[in-house]
Amino acid sequence: MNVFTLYLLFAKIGLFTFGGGYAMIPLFQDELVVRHAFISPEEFANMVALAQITPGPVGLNAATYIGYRQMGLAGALAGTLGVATPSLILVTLAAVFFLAFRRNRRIQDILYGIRPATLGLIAAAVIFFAESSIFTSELKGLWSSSVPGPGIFWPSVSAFLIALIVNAGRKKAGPVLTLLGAAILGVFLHLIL
Amino acid sequence: METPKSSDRPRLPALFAVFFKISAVTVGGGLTMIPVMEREFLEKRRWLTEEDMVDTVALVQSMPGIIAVNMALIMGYRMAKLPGAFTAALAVILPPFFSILIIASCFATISGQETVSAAFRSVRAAVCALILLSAVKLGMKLLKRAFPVAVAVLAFLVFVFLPQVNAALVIALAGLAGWIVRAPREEEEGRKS
Repeated sequence: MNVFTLYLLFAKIGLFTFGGGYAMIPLFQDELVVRHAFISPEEFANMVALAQITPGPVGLNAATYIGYRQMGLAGALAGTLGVATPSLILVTLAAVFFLAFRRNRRIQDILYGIRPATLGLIAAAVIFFAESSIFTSELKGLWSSSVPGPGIFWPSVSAFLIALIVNAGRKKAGPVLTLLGAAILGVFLHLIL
Repeated sequence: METPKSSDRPRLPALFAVFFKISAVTVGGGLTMIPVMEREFLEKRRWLTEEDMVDTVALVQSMPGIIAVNMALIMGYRMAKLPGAFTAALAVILPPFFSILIIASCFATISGQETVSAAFRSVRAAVCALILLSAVKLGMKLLKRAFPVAVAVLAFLVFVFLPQVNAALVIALAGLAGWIVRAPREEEEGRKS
């Protein structure tokens, strides 16, 4: 793996992300955690949390962070430029030929397929995050007899439920407060249990 | 498309400064930036019209990549053509790049401690809740017909049970399926209103 391959990998992620933010998470997870094992599932999940509470777009934050962890400053540049390159080309073209793009039915048709697929992938990413926080091992154990079944990590269950409750209503706590609150709760439970 | 009067047209350094500021202070990125951009570009400066804003939001959602970068490219283009597009994109990319560099280099030194890992375990569980909520919200919007439901379920199952299949391939095939099936036209009309 060199800087250019890293750049191409991020460009691929940028090209297949529709909807921004969370839509990018399953693609990052697939390429960087599962396929190339650049960072561990735990560190990836931590990084997603950090990317949400630091200023700036989540996708850019994540790409910069992972690139930096992989290859230092050059990697951070490769990550940032990589995820931005498809936009720089395609969106600039779309901005120039705006009217042609706006009412193009074929683009709407393609998105009619892509949007629910992205949703399915995001839902799958929830399981992945649960494995690195709420459960003590992979959920594969539930249906594969070769892997032991997972245990449940109760302090995380409480953080999960509280986060769910404070963001489900009309008035939401928002990611920054939620995640900072979860960190405090985690430390507190760690110290008293 | 309405071109602003020449007196209203921003100079590139001013354009850079405003996008830089928005990117540096907005946490979460993506569509959360829209109200901030409206205040800056419509109310305070009149560099864009209401119609520009609506068009931009519509176009951004049908383009791949990071939403904030895409918005910067389209708005920058509308305000000052290609130099505007690239200036705005650069301004959006720079703040998170530097803030993440600082965070990434500090994070490695604290991540080993037991209290810190307890905090992060809890934070990961909260992230899990946030992603789940956004998936539910997206699902309520998208899953109104058999085709999107089928695509979402298939994408979910493939991603969970067949990790050897590339997430980008899932997205590409779903786009192809949408192209063949075609989006219902009345839904398209409904989205515009």
